[in-house]
Amino acid sequence: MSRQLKQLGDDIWRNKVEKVNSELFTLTYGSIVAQLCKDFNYNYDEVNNELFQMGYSIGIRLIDEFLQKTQLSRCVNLKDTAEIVSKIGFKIFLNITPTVAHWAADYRSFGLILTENPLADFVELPDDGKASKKLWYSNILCGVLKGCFEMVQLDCDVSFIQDTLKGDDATEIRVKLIKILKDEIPAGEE
Amino acid sequence: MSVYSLYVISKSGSLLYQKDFRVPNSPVAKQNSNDYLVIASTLHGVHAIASKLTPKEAMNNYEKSRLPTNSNKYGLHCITTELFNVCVFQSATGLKIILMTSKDLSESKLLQLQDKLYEYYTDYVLKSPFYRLEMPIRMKSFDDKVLSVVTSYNV
Repeated sequence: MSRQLKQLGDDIWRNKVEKVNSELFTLTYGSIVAQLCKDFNYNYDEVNNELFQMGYSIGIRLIDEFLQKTQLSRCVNLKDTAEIVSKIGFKIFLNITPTVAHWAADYRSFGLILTENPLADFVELPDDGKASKKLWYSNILCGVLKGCFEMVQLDCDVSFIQDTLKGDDATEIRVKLIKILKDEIPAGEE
Repeated sequence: MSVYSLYVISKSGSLLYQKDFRVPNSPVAKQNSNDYLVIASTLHGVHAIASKLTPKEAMNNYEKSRLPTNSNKYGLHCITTELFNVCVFQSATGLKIILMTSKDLSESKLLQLQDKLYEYYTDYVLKSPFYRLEMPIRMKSFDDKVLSVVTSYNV
């Protein structure tokens, strides 16, 4: 299963998606975050929130493209979901494959460890004593995941719990399934 | 082989896009805009009712004749009339793409077309920064793409 997913992710990455110069991408994202920090007067809670909202708006649209490109149908359990997010989702849109780790005992939450993060190349957080405590620089990713999950009726909490930019050992996104929105599943499905 | 008409319906049942294609002797008559809304909401409702009526055992009958992205397992799948067919595609996000086609359109062609239209929706509608979800689609680029792909089927 996991092998096949990797293969599928690679194929789609190679044949179906448009690529852009990675520096253009990184620098564009960097200037957005920097501008937001300025706009919100270095109130990093608001910056995190704004990035999350931006990501959410992307996510609720991106999911349809993901479904169309991958030709996948609904996952059976959260384990599959985690594998697919990492091996296909991140692969086709960012060309990285985060490691799925740190499953909770009840299998309702997992961590995605980003060994590389194309958003954060060249980045040094501002040296104002606050940024390294509060700013989740790549928080847009959490918003994207949140939006995507919500559109396929999975209500999840998505947040960063560590980031190498802040001096942590790894960069990890935590995904916690709150509930499956059964009432919202479109008619005609289980 | 022809495609007469296309409806795109949002997950909440509102009509996002409707187009009648110019085909000689089309059995699908032109309606006024209010009637299109009525047709769309009727199909949306009938689809939901059908999903409650379909016996679970019958589900597998559709497995082969639908795309993996088509989440429509129990709902209204196809209406066959003497003159044309009405075929329903539904994504996991609840978007419906409904096609009225001639009876000689093969299944594989239909699936291809559904997939293509879904692709155009993701590329030309969802990626437009000013498009708001659940709002009617008024985009020339999407119009042109839809028209050109459908025209290629209308031979």
